[in-house]
Amino acid sequence: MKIAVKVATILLDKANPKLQSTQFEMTLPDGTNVTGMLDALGLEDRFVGSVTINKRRSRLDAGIADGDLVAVIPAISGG
Amino acid sequence: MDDVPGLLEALEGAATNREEGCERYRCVTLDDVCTLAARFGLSTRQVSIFALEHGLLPLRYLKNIGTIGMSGQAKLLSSRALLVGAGGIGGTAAELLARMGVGTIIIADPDVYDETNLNRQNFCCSSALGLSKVDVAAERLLEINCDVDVIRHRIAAGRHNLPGMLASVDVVIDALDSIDDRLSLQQACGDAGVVMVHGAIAGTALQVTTIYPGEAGLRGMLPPTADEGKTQGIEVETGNPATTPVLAAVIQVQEAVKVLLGTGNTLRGKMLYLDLEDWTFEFIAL
Repeated sequence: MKIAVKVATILLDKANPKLQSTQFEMTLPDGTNVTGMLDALGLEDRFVGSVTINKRRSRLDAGIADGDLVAVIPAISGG
Repeated sequence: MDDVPGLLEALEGAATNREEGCERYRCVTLDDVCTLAARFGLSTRQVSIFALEHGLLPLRYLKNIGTIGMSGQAKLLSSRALLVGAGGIGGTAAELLARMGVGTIIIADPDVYDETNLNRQNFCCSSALGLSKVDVAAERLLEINCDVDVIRHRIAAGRHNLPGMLASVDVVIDALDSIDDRLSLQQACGDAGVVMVHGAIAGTALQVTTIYPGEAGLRGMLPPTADEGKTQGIEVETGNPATTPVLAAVIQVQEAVKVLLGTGNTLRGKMLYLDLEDWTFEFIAL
């Protein structure tokens, strides 16, 4: 399946390999969930605060469907 | 506020006309408010509230009135806000609450200023290094607005003492710096039935949401299976430069004012995520 991915700028160099763009398309095996997508991006859980699928917050075990827009927001907690 | 014999006549005698936009207000100066408070044995806040309730405007609030009105200003002066954390977000939030005229500001923070705070924390300057953040903030707030009553807690807010701090509080501003502490604060606010305005920063990014009791709030923002042991976010790598805590505090205090006055649209049920580096501006449904 092919999905649209949006990653917060602050996370670009936390991916492995580093990402060059905040928005891109990604091809994943059918049935991949959010955790699988983060693994494919090489993003560690500790950097991730929220993941949304089509603008709604999602669980890590939520399935992703062809054509979805998945956005990754960092965990931030500075005061 | 109860009637005070002679006070209304004294305020009316001191008041002068002042035009603001298309409106004309009967205004009393700070000197007059202070003088009358001393003469009648009242606090300046009591005099200010009394004046507002009788259609007289303490001049210091003139620029607030076009937005929140006389009754709104009186309501803010009668309100109590708990500010948890007096660092980057908290220092600016404290000042903004005082300038808006929130009558009672309760501040909790166990820390003293150190050199790493100089880049961003509002009341931190070289002469304040080593001093309690709460004490420095309290003294500064009283210089800014003598109507404000500042209650100091030079301790960390936690499960054991939050119920006491939250008593009679109308709104809470979360200016903490760890995820675990923020979750504990949200739980305590929910138990006490108080709205919490959350804000956090990292690098050029910030997030704000307004959480009503019983709502998912921060629990909804963090992937449930990733919570354990994650006490800090990406700010451990990005640091916290000068600009983002100020902007987070601005948004949080405006949210708090809307909550207190029951006006406007708040960030209830959604999180604003903003990155100043590339103007990412997202609302995430929680």
